[in-house]
Amino acid sequence: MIGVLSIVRSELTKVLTLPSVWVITGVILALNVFFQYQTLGFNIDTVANVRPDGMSEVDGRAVHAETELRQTLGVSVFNPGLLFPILGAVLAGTEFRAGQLGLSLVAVPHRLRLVLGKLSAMTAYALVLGLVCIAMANAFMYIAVRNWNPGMLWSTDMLAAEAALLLFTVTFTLIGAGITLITRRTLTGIIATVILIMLTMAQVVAMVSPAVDAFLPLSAARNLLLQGRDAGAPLTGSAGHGAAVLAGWALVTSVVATLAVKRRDAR
Amino acid sequence: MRTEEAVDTRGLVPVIEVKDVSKKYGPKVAVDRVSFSAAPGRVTGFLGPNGAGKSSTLRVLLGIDRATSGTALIEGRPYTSLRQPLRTVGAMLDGASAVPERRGVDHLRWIAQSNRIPSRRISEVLETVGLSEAAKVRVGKYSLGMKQRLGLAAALLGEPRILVLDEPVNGLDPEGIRTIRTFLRRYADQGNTVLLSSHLMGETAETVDDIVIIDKGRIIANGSLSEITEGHASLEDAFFSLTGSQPGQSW
Repeated sequence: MIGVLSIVRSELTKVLTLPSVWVITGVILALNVFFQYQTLGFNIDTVANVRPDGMSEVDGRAVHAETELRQTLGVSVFNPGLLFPILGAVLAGTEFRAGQLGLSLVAVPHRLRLVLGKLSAMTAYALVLGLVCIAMANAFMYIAVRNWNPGMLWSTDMLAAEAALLLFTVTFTLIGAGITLITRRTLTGIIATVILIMLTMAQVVAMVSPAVDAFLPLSAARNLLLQGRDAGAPLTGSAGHGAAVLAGWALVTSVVATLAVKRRDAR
Repeated sequence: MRTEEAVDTRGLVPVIEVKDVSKKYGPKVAVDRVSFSAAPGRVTGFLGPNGAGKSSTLRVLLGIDRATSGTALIEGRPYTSLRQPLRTVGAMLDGASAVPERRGVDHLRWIAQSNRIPSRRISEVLETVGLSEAAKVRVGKYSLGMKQRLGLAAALLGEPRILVLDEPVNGLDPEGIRTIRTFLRRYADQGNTVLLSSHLMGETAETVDDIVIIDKGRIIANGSLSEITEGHASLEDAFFSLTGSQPGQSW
């Protein structure tokens, strides 16, 4: 059997040599800069209004400054992060263009290993891109807090929030990729993930049953990342529930995608 | 492991064995109980009109499509069980080409990495097929002939002892066709096995030792070139006689 590492390396080469991946990566990073720039003024004001007890006045209400800044950082990465499923769809959808899946299977005929290698490479790419987004957010945040409390950037609470953000970026990428491997078309994968996102944004399910809404991927991401913050629409579950649902979606779509690739002809 | 080595009618040990393979796509039977073999040191031509079942058979042989019934073996084993398969089998498939946005060299790189083939082989095969200059050009800008040569380069990466080529001369100019013909002849003469599908009779007749003809999913002739063409002016005449079709009939 070919070593899984060589398959992962090969799949990473596929990822890194595809111009459309660089385009989407560039869009995600550009949006990230845009959101960071937008929140910079708010963060500077929050720090400027900090009282000796660590509280600050934001929009006429007293908030714990460090908590507020940490949540703002989370939101600023969360918003452009909604494009990660599209990244996953493009990564997976390439296999169904120009008959590449056939070539992939000629090179790696063990289908389970091929899919595992592909999902591992996607995970690695999403992880690195998520880390870059978080590093950018930290750089902007440092500008705001450097003369007050720069240590908050590596506090336990901040690292936990960043770990949750990484879970979000990786699972959202895998969900987009998994759906695309199942549907065998990039566009179909993108449409399916957009519909899932819209179900949360339009609050369609939440109006009927908040408990069911908590099982939608974007709702789970909101529950994970936006706790304790004015999130527009009410949250429908705990952070732990959100993390479990996101991981569950990524796992289920990956398993179904693996079975689909294993059982179908490579067309 | 093979427990015994079957010998074909010419006394040769077949390297490729297709046994009673059938393939259905929905209700349509694309391949119907196809059996043939290919032996080392020989070029075996797999001929048939468009839609006869050539590509479907080769896809089953390479594990890309699953046979409805029957077995297809390479050196006595299914392709899917081969360790580092590209070091044993080089394959070029009709309809499976590089993603247009990717550069030729990058296409070969991921294939090489997947089978731990040294990266020096990339430049060597590009040189072999005359694509060194176009290595960093995106595949979408390649001509049809260049894409075919890139496919051949990918097949040669692992220095395999078996080549399975689906319509390899499609889109090639006369010089390219002659080059491929000479190359495949030399490759087989070195003791390697070449299975070559085509619908071009004239070209195939100048390259192959053995012929397998498929029509409407069924094997209708199987033997050496001289056996197949015996009593006919050319392979093309033999083909039309065996398939019962007339030139222009399908237009």
